Amino acid sequence: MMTYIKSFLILMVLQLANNANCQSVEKYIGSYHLGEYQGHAQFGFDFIDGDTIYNDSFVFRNANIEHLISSQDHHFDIQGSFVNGTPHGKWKFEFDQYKLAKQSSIVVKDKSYIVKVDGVHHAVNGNLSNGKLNGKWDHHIERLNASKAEKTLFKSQISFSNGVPQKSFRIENEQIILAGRFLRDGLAHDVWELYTLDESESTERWSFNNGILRNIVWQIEDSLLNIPIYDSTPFQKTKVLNLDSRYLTIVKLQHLISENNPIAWNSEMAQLLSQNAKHYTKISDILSNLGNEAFAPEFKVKVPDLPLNELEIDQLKSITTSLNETKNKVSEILKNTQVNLLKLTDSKVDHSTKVLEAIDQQHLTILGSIVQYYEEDVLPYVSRTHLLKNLWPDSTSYTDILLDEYLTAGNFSGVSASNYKFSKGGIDDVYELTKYTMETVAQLERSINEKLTRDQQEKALASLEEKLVEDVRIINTRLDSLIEARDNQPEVTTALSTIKTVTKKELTTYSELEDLTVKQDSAKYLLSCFEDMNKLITMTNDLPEKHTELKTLYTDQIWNPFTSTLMDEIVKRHLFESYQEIVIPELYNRINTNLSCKNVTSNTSIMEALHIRMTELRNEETSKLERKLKREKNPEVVLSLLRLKIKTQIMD
Amino acid sequence: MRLVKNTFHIMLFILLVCGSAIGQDRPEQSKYKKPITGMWINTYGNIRITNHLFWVAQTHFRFIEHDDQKFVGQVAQIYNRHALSYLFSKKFNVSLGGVVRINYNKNRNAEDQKNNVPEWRMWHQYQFAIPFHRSMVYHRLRVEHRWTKGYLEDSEYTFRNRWRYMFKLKTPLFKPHLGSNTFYVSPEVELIMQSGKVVVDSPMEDLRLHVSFGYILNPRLTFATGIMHSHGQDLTDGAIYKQKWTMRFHVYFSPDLRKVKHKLPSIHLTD
Repeated sequence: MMTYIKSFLILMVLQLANNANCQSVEKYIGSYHLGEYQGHAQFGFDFIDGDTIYNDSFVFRNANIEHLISSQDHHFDIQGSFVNGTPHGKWKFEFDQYKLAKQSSIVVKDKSYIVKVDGVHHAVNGNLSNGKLNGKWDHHIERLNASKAEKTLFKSQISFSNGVPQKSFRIENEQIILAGRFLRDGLAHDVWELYTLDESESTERWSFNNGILRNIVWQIEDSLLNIPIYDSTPFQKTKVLNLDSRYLTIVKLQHLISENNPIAWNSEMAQLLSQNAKHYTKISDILSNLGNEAFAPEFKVKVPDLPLNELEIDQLKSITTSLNETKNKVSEILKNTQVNLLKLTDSKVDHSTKVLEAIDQQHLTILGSIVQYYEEDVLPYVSRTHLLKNLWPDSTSYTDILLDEYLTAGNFSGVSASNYKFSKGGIDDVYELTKYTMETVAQLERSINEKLTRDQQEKALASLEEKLVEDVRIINTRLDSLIEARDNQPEVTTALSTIKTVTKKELTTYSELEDLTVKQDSAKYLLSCFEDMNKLITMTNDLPEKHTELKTLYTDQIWNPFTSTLMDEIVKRHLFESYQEIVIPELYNRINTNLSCKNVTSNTSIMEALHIRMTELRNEETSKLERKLKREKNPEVVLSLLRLKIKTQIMD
Repeated sequence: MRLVKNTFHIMLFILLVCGSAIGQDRPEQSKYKKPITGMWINTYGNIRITNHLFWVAQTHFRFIEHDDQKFVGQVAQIYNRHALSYLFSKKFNVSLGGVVRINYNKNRNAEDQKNNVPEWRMWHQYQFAIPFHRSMVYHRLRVEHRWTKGYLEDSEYTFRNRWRYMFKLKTPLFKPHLGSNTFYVSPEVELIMQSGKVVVDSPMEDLRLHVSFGYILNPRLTFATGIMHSHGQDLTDGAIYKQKWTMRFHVYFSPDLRKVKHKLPSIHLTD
């Protein structure tokens, strides 16, 4: 019994050990892809409810020797650790751009090739506590020459406590150093100063008061310039934002729209902060991809909260759409090779394109920047009351379009600048200006297109007319030689001469036209007519041969016992005589009395149909038809009896 | 060539026969009677029955002077000639048929004489047609076996043979060929010899010299007119020669009785 109990206990222990083993961290070693990074990874993970949960150490790196040899390698090395899916502990990042060092030889040591590199080495070190920045974080970017640090390009040292920056910090690049501090809650506070490396005095100072940027002082040469940003008036509503690129844009825009901004925005501090923000974003992006949403350095600042109302949002959406369309339209016109050719010869088109260029540079640029502010979510934190006015150059009105040296004030036919009201301020004015710009561009486009169309029409017409003249020349030459060859057949030569006269007359009528569109249509019509005339010439000239051909077809040889000879005799005599005596003269008559481009095809059709019909009738039962034809002299009736009436109706 | 040769032999035989006749009881001189005048209105029908067979149907109205009335003084003969004609080729055809002719008495109202008597003939003919430049040349050999009798009430039929050879030329006028709507001129000469018991010294019955002028309206209808001089020995006296001037008016017609489907697409002779 004891033995049995012992055995059972051993089994239980083994089973428990086995269960514990199932929950232990699994390892992954192999190629790995994370956002824009691709390389080799080694990490531990748990697989819980279908999700991969990082656990334990994490290493992800890539170095490509082929890239290094051929051009440049983007090397990265990320090392850290997770606790139950949350990054925790020491993390180390390296982002490098390496080329083979120019002035260094390759060393082979311990059966390994050792090469030196030139490039940029970016190292980041810091601690994370439950996914939040904790302790000192260093960013160090330096330029390497033969694998040795040559120059520091960027350096940032900030201490965090649970994601919140603490006390003072220091950021520098190759020229300047920024020193500042935060309150315990991470709000920017006090004076942030910027020094050049070689000068001890500050060149730029930002004064924060509990997260609100009060003013900026720039050192311009020897004097100090004070730029107020947010005065001491308390905000109606306040918003705490991260000090990121958006905040820097807000500050810049706040500077641009403030009433007295004697100089353009040129803040090195902002550039440096933006650079720093960009490096933290890089780390943040990687950790986000690893499932950590909590990571974000909480450099906090305060701005006025001025949310967009529904009307503003609608208008801004509309402005965005219209602006994109207008920009595309302007770009298309200015890139259009035909327009660019035409403007060399057409001063009006040249002027229109200059106006479009000016609109592109001024109106579309300013409207574009407003749209960008909207898209970057900057507008809800700045006053829009005088937005457009403050962004617009002082000396001109919104409807002015500045062309090089001189000013053209909205003098485009169809677009009246006075129709646009800019009295409400705010986004209304921006909306109105967008409409004005859109209308003006559309008007210019129409004007250019008209010119372009006319120019294209003229060119097309010139080519058509060239063909017309050539066609008439060919027709005349052909007719002359045919007439000469048929000089013993007056009915043919008369008809051919008539065709010549009619062709000339049609061309004369065309040449008297003035309207370009009508002319183009007429030229095409005439070309087709001349083609038909050519066919008619052929058929008219062939008529005697067709006649002979049918005569042969309708002739049979009859034995005359009194002469003992075979004699030709026309069979179906009334039919053939109608053809010969009535229809053929009628065909000539129609050409000679009534020929024009309108009925030329009817003439050819009837000639064609007649020959086919007569050929068919030779072998058909025609006694009734012959009886009807016997006394019929009216060509219309004869054609009708020959079932050629439909075509004659078209002809008429 | 063989045909020409045959024709020659036949003519030689006729001349020999004539020569032997003249040799007996010979008068000093022959005597030519004063020419008389006549007029013929002849219709010639050649009706096509099959591709090679024609029905020949001719009706002639012959007038002769009487008293002071020249040319059409009285009816001389009414003449009905029928035959079947076989077309061997474009150049040769043969006909065989009969003739009934009514001869009218010149001595009208003469006592013991009939006003008219019938004459019967069997005939066969061999005609050669030869193109000659724009013209056509014809050689016609015709043999007739005739039974005639006089106007006397008790007159008996006598039998004679006639041996006829005709040479004819047809030349188109103003046109290159004989065809529809064509005028033509046609000179012809025909020698008619006769034989039989009653023929003692007058073998040359008639020598006809005829020129006609015609118009071919179409292959089926032709009109012609001409003048003919003829002379020949009197049956009762070979020394006496009769003479005659005849105006001739001819209608030639040749309908085609074949069904249309047999005519088409070709109705030619060699079909």
